[in-house]
Amino acid sequence: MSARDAPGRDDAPAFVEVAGLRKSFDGTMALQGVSFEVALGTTVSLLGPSGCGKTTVLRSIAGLETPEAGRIRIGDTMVFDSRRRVNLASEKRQVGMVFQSYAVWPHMTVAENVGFPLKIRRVAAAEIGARVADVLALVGLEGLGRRPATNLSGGQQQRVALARALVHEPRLVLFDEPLSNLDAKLRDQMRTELKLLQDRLGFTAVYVTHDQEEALALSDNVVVMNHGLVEGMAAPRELFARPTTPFVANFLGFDNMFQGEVSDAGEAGGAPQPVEVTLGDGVRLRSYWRGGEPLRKGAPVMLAFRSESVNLGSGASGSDASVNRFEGSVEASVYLGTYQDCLIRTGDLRVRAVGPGDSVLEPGARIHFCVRPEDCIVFVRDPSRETQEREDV
Amino acid sequence: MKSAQGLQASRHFAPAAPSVSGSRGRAWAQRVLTPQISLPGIAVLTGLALVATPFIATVVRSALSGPEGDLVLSLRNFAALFQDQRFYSALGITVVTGLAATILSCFFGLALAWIVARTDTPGRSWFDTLNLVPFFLSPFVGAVSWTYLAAPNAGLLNTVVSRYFSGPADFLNIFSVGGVIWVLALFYTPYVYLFLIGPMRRMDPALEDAARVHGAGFGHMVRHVTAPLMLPALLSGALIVFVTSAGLFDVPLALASPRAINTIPTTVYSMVQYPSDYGKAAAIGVMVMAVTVFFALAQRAYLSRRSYATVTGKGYRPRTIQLGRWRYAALALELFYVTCGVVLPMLALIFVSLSTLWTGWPDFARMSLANFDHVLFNHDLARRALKNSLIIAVLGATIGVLLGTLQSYYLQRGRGRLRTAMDSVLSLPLGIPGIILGLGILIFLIRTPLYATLWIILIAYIARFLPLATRGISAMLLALGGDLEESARASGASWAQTVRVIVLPLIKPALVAAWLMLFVIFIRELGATILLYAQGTETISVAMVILGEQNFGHVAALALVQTLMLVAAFMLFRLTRSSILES
Repeated sequence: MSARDAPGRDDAPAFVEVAGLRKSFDGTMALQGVSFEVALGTTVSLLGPSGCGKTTVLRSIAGLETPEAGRIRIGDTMVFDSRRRVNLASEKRQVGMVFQSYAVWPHMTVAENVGFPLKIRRVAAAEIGARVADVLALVGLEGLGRRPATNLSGGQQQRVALARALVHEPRLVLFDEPLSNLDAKLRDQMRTELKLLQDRLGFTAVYVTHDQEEALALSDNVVVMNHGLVEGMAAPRELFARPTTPFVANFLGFDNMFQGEVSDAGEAGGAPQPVEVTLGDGVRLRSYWRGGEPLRKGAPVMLAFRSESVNLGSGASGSDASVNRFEGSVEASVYLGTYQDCLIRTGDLRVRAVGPGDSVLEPGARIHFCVRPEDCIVFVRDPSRETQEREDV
Repeated sequence: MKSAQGLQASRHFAPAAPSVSGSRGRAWAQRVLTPQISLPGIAVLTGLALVATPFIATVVRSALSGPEGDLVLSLRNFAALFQDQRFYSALGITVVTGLAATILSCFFGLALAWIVARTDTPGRSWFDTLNLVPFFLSPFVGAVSWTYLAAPNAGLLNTVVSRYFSGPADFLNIFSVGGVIWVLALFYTPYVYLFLIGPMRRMDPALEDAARVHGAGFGHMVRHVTAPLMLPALLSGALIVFVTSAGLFDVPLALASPRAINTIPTTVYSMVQYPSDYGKAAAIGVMVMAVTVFFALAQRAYLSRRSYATVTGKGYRPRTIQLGRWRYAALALELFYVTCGVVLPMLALIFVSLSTLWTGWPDFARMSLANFDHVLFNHDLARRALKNSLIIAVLGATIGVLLGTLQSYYLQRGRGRLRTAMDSVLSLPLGIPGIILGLGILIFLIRTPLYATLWIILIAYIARFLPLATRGISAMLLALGGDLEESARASGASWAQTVRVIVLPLIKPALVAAWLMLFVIFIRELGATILLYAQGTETISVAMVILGEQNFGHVAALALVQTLMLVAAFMLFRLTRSSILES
């Protein structure tokens, strides 16, 4: 996977270009060659579990970390190039950054915090005052400029950090898990506000998060990372509907994932190719293969679908009600108000499903369920594929 | 012995039992008589008595003048003092040495803490331990060792200068104001270091990163972010160093008194010597105490205003700064400090203690253990001093930890509204010079049978240093939180069981650390002892003062034996890896 496959890309060079970043910490590879691009005025999210290297990429862009190899270009400035020994100091890269811990300076007032990037750039005091007031209003902190920064709630500190990252109108804004320290309700609210702010100001941004919803909500493109590698890159809708690797699928909520092999392969003429997959205990599921080479009978594959895609109950709706229809027994169910999670056993498979909150799903009950073929994704099980991917990057 | 002390303490300091009248009185008595209330209560009252009595005794005595036995109330002591030119010169020298020592130790402490916490200087983890060694050594022994190194015409370093660099043999003169400042700075650097190393390690590195990303160069970042964040810790350290070093008796006694230069503590000492003038000494004591209270209040006000003093952190690891070639400059500074603060004094002490006759240069052919043999097995005074110091240190540390634990329990878990005020009052002795506190105890107890016993020394030590134990244990109790105890109580344990099974095991590291800390201090303390000892109750440090006028070798041998005790305690301390230092 490389940036070349990213949808919505023009022929004009991207505004930010990250290419072949490598970095190791104490012998372990943190980044094993990471590349992606960010178009002007768009936001790219780096999504992945902790330790996948996403923060290291962001800090490398900010100049807070020095990669061993690769290059980083922002606008027409090459800020880092290992081959040409270019490594621009952090303060000269003209970016803004929001830190996970906010990093609001406790010995300064709100206005001093926010005005810092301007003061450093020797902007006249009167102008600093005006611009700080403007940006504080923008983030919803009007009138709080004189407050000591320590007198603020977590959400307010978050806004101060945001204002500070925007006040000097940087070429690029970097977000390092900015919402992860907020409680759930505030996080949702800030996410929406951030989205509105993005639309209004149109800044270019790189956004690091481990939360798939944040990544989907806030970005034009999502880069999924794992073990220092880019696992996949796509626009949110595309990524959510058709993840390209089992890892991406799992990370984006494909919580049913089974190994099996192709037991029947349809015409390979026009994609997608209809296939039938037999899972461990002889359970057969129909799906479509959307990869390049058509699959042959007997090919080892993985099949994945979301628990939300499982249709519970005997009277399943949909055009192909007889397809992918199974019977099993409820093993456990957890009532969660509007819906309930349950675990259904069929043969030796355990399927996760979500049912409506008002249905009765007692453990032990017999139940019919089905999964639409188009909701299932098939991946080829092939160890060499991973290597291929690495070389591609 | 412990119970005897307990009895004595309660006889002297317990408040008169309230007259129980009616059912309300009985209910009150029932509530207070539970061990949960009464034990910490007794410890706090004991602490208050230990703070108040020397204060009151000093104030009262300063207002009495005239010949012994015919004292009248007057301000003549203060009047006499203010007309005394020697008082002003002592005051000037005290302030100058205190300030200069503070500035120097702030420089060293700041630089060393930064080197260890934030840079890639080689050997950092070793220096982290080595930088603390002087904290445990005796400043008096340090001063004495430095006389072996830098006495004009006789010091080891002077001999090196004149032999190998054909310089003057009085190149260095440790018997001077400069010498006092130098030794004080060496020994108080670890205080500043300890105050700064925690905040430096715990600082959220993103605070610095944010400055860099938003346009600040390294210099700007240090000026606008790092330095202001470290300032509260630095000022706290500086204040402690100033108050403690200005009030220290031992170093000026060893280095300034021989040249008839006096500081306030040595002036008090000479006023109490024959012909003694307790009134004038007490007048000085009152002023010093007033200054201490002022500083304590100022510090409280300052810290409450700047609430970010503790840069909170969740175990951040600040990024280490790559110093490049400057690493070697940092290494050189570290080596310089450790050499001057530990290696050179110890070497000098070893040379002198092994020499039968010290001539300013080690004569390896004629070295022997004769001095050790003498002080350990033959010399009555030295043997007595060793025994007395050990008794006081072990007993005192034990009583101190006991009282400290109970006091902390009250300060952290008590219900009283007076807790914060009580905390401040109980901490006051920390700022009072040992000799001033000793004077107060002396005035208070001179007519009692306690005078000229080990008890009076023990009482002075506990009065002066108990707050250290209380603070360390208090910090640990605070960190522990009350939940663990409450859940034990909810599970059906009584208060006593909870303390025994939950609280004590969990705060054990702090208890061990506090005990070792008090042990170290009691083994080496001189200022609080010098006015209180009598024939038969000399301590090691006192014996060194007495022997200093007779035989270098014996002093050095005794100093080395004392140092070994301190080093042993230090090693145990590092093993327990407690947090008392960080509190």
